[in-house]
Formats: sequence, structure tokens, C-alpha cells
Amino acid sequence: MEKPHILIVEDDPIIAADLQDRLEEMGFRIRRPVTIGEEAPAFFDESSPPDLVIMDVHLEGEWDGIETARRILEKHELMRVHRSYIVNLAQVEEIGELNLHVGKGRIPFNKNFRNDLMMRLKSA
Amino acid sequence: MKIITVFISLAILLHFSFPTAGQTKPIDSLMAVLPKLPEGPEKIEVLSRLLKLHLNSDLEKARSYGHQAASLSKKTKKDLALASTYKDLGVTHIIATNYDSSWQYYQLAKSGFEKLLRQSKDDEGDKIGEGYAGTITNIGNWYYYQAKLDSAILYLQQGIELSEKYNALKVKANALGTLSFIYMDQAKYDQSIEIQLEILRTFEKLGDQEGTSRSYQGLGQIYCDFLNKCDLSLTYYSKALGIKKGLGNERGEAYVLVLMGYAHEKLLALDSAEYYYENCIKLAEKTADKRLLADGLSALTEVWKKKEKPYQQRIEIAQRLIQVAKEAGYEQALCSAYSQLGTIYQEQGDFEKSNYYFQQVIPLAEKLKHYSYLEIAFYKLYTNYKGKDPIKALESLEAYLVNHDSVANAERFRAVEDMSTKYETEKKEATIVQQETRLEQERVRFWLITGILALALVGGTLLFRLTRQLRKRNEEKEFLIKEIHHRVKNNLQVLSSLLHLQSRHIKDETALDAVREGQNRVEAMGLIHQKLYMGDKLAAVEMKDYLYNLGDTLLDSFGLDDDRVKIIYHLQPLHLDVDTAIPLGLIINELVTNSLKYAFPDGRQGIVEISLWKNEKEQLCLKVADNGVGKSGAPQLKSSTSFGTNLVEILSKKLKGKPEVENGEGYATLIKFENYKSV
Repeated sequence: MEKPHILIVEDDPIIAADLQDRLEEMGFRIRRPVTIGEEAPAFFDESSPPDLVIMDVHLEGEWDGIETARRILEKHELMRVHRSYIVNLAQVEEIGELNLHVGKGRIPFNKNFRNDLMMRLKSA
Repeated sequence: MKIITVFISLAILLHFSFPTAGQTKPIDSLMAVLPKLPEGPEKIEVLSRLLKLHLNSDLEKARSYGHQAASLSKKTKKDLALASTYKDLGVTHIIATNYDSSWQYYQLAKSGFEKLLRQSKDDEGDKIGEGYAGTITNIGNWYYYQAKLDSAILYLQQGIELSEKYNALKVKANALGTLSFIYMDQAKYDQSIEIQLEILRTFEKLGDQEGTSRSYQGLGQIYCDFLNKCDLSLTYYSKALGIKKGLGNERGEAYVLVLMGYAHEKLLALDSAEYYYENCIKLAEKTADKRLLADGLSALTEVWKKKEKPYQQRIEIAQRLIQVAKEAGYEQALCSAYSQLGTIYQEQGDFEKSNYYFQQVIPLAEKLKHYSYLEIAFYKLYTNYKGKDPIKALESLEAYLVNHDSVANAERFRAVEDMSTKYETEKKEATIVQQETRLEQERVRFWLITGILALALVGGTLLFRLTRQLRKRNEEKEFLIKEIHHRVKNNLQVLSSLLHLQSRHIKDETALDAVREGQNRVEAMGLIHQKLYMGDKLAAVEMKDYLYNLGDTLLDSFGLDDDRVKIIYHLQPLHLDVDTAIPLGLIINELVTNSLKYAFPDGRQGIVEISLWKNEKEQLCLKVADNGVGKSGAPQLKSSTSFGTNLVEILSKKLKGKPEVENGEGYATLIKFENYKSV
């Protein structure tokens, strides 16, 4: 089985690198992390789109994490059904309608987190 | 001229009280009938009518008829007739200026009517009511003659009410008439005219032409005597005259003619005045009304004086006036005639005759209280005697001076009256002013209150805006602080990520430990800032939430999960200031790290307990305990661990606490902090 593909949208390159490092350590495949939300939807036009997105709410571009998530869902309706998204550090209320998994605060890089991610990917 | 006015006013009033029933013919026929009548109501009625018919000509006779009617009423026990007779007798006396007697009769009439009203005989109810209303009105008139205007108004108003109640419109007109005179005296001409117009309407409603004409007469008088609009009054007089002619009321006609003459006299149309007076005299002669004749003659003598007619003519007419006035028992007219003659003879230089007439004036004028006549008489006597009879001259002068004083007094009295009227008017005006002032004050108060309210509103709005602005500024500040915390947290996270990335490339265990521990310390601090910008209190950290997160982070960093090591929390709800929370967080970070690192070697399971509470000494107590291998079981302390212990010592000092190690099952550290800030 091919390693699950995760897209990281994070404007701070160090944090993005750390995140990539930790996720790769957990056994995920990470495409080049993007720093602005506007770049994200393009990944879903490719032949092998990301299985999951981990995204910061605060982004540098015009779109914030929520807007980016909304755009991705608009373009790829199926994603809503098949994919779960984790948006890092989100304001809960705004995201509820998008049916996203909202991580509050830091991402717990532990066994449970990994299991949780895997379970979501399997259900997709 | 004044005197004429007074006569006329009085006569008008009497006309109101007693509509002139007719001429001499009815008197004669009634007198013829009288002796034939039996002693009964009819006779009383005839006597009563005779009384009324004699009021304007012979007061003595009128009085005598009255007495007869009264005694007959008593005898036949006709209470109503008796009361009515008393009332008429009162009128008779008032015309004769016997005010005291008049008062007595009015009181008798009043109590008589009141008694009848109490008995309330239905068949005579209206008559009683009318009589009562008339009596009350006459009492009002009585007060008016006595210049007691307040009482007069009171009774007249009562009379008006009663007359309305008993539908006695003529009585009402009478009362209104006097009221209008009172208003005239008080210079309230508008009200006076209004009342006269109401009287006019009343009579028109009644179809009473006599009354209507008298109203016109009254209106004319007001306009001429008081408002000096004699030309206007002449149109009213003409109307009155027309009606009276139509009615064949020659006496009434004659009376209007006097008034018209007077109006022309005032307008300085002396020839016209003369014409009217002469016509009046002719009519008076025709109707044999001596009183009226006297009025006409008296007026004519005045005009002739003004016209400077030959003395002989003037003497003749004055002599005639004396005769007529004597026959009519008309003392005012007599007095005026004597005075005229005295003046004429003085101008002719016939001092003896002049003196004679003026001496006739004195007792009459004294009796009638005509002080102006008296004064003139004394003064003329003085000038007559001057140089001829010093003693008499002196006497006259003295009398003149005394009298002049009294005239002056009378004038003063009038002046006082005027002043009191003025005073009352002014008082009313003052009241009005006062009310206006009060209104003004209220207005001012209103505006003041409105102003204050407006000010309060503006102030409130400003305050609201200010607070809103402050709140907004506060919110902005809060936002900025949160933003700063966010940035600090982000930077710390970057730092943590850097350390983590670096640790990937460190092979040396000690160095790796140091970097990881450093990373954890950064995480512990970063968490504080995260809690600060995510929590509801800006300067305070909610410890429970923070410690849960810290515990999880530490477990994760050591790759431990709940299956191996469990962290149990015993926490009092506490919000700690950031200056306390950061060192405390770091202390807990070190102590938990210690336990996680050394207490559970070789896959050993265990519990770490974190307890935080305030004791009774208000010290903040922290206890981190594990059920691990304990101090004895712990491997030899490495440099990094001793650094951690040092760190705990240093940070505890900052919070004025001293770590105490408790030996027990595992390893426990208790620190009591004295210097901390909770929110």
C-alpha cells in the first residue's frame, strides 16, 4: 500500500519542515508544503491528489485556512465525503459547517494521533 | 351734567324693575274701581298696581298704596301678596332714597318668599320664585346704590341664577342691567355692553318690545355717557324711540327724548339738544308726568345757560321747574332749579334774590347729599356777601371751605374708590402677571429640565461613545495583546520546531537529551502564550487546561502513552498571572520530565500526580509525585538532570518557594510558593 499523501499548508517554513519531518517519521508521504492557501486547490487537479490536508488557519495569502478549505471543497465535492481535513489552530465555530476536523492548539504527535489519521484515511 | 346722568341712570334702573304700565288713564280707572272692590286678592292686586304706577310720579301715594296692600294682605292672610308688597315698598323707599327703610322691607320680602318657598305651593310656585328672584335682585340693586359692589354682584348673580331657575326673564334682565352698570362703574365697558346685548336678546326672545327698547336705551347710554360715542348712541336711541312710538308709550318716548337731547348736548349740537328737550317737555306735559317734565325742564335750563339765552326766559323756565318739581316732590330737580336761579340773579347783579335761592339750595343739597350743589351755593353766597356783609361772607366762606373739604373728601372718596377699582384691576393684573410669571417660571423650568435632559442625553451619548470608544480601544488593545501572544507563541513554536529538526541530526545521547529538554521548555512556554491568547483572560492562565496540555506534550515527547504512564491531576481552579504561570510551568515541566525520564525505567508502568492548591496560609502549593522507582532506584544523576534540578531551585526562588523532596513510594517534590499572583 502506498503511503498516504498529506498536503501541508503552512506559511512558516520551519514549522512546515518540522511538521513534514514528524509526519514522514509517522509514515506519511508529504508533498512539498505550500505556504499560501491559493496554491492548494491545484494539487487536487493532479493524477494523485492529496489524501489529507493539514493546514494552518492563519496564512499569509489572501485566503486563510478556512477560505482555502472552502475553495478546495467547492472544486472537489467528493472530497467532502472521502476526505477529512485537519486544520490546525482553527476557530471552531467557523469551521463547523465544513465538517472539518479541527485541531485545537498543537498537534499531538503521538501514537493516538497517527492512529486517528490512519483511521480517517481508511474510511475515505 | 353729572346730575342728569345720575338721574337718568337711576330712572333706567327703575324702568327695569318696573316696566311702565301705562299712562294716567289706568291710574284713574284703577282709582275709580278701588273703593268698589271688596277686601280680597283683587283689591290687593289693584293697590299693588297703583303703587307701581305712582313710583315715577308720586312716591307718597305709592307708599300709601303699599301700606294699604300690606295690611289687607295680612288681614286676608295672603302671604305671597304680602311678600310682593314688601318688595314693592322696598323699591318705593329706595327711590325716595330712604335706604334704611328700603332695606327693612327687602328683608321682610326676602324672609316672606323664603318661607313660601319652603312651603312650596305648586300652584304659586313660579310666582313665588319670580318674586324671590326679584327680591334678591333688588337687594343687589340696594347694595349697588350703597356702592358696595362686591355684595351687589353677589346678590345680582344669585338673582340671575334664581331668575333662570324660575324662568323669570324680566327679573334676569333687571339683574343684568344693574350688573352692566356696575361694570360701567368699573370701566369694564366691554362686559357692560355684552350684558346689555344679552338683555336685548332676552327681551327680544320674550317679544317684549318695551324691554327691547329699554335695552337699546341702555346701550345708547353706555356709549354716550361712558364711551363718549354719543353719535353711535343716537342710533340706539332712535331704535328705542321708534319702538316706544309704536307702542304708544309717550312717557317712554319722552324719556328717550331727554337722552337724545343729552347726547346732542354732549356733541355740542345745542340747538338739536334744545329741540329734543322741548319735545320731551311737550310729551311730559301731555302725559302729565311731572317727574319727567322736571327732567326735561332741568335739562333745558342747562342748555339755555350754555346758549346764553336771555335771563328772563331762563328765569321763567327755572321758576316753572321749581313749581313742577315741588308738585312731583322731585327734590333733585328742585335743587337744580334753585341753583340755576341763584346763578342767574347773581349774574344779573341781584344779590338779594341770588342769596335767597342759594340759601334754598343749602338744606336740599345737604339732605340729598349733593355736595357739588352745596359747594356752589356756599361759594356764590360768599362772593355775594363779599364787600357787603363781611360776617356772612366769612360764614359762607367757612362753610364753603368746610364743604369744599367734604367735597374734596367726597372726591377723595371717589378717588379712593377709583383707586380701589384701579387697585383691584391692578391686583388682577398683578395676578395675571404673577400667573404669567409662574407660567414663565414653569416654562423656564420646563426648558431647564428639557435642557438638562438634553444635556444628560448628550452627556450620556458622549459617555456612551466614550465608553464605547474606550471599550473599542480596550478591545483593540486586547486584540493587539492577543496578537503579540500569538506571535510569541508562533516564534516559540518555530524555535521548538528548529530544536526538533536539529535533534534529528544529533547522535550524542547527552546532547540529544539537552536539545529535547530545551525543546520541551520552549513548548512549555509556548503553551502559556497559546493559553493566553486563546483564553478569556488576557493576563491570566487557566492552570488546569494548561497543565493538561503540558502533560500531554511531555508524554508525547517521551513517546509515552496512557498505557504506560498516566498523569493524574489534582488541581484547584486557578488563574495565575503570566509572571507566575511561566516559572511555575517551567518548574512543573522539569519535575514531570524528571519523573517521566527516571521513575519508570524498562517499560515500567506508573502514575505521575500533579497537585496544585492554595493552603490555609495562602501559599500556593505544588506537588509532583510519582509511584516510580524513587530516588534510590534512580540512575545516577546526569548533568542535564542536575541542570533541571537547578532550574527548579532558581525558578522557585523567584516565586519564594523552596523545593522539599518527600521520600515515599516513589519520588515527590513539594514546593510552597509565597510570591505568586493569582487573578
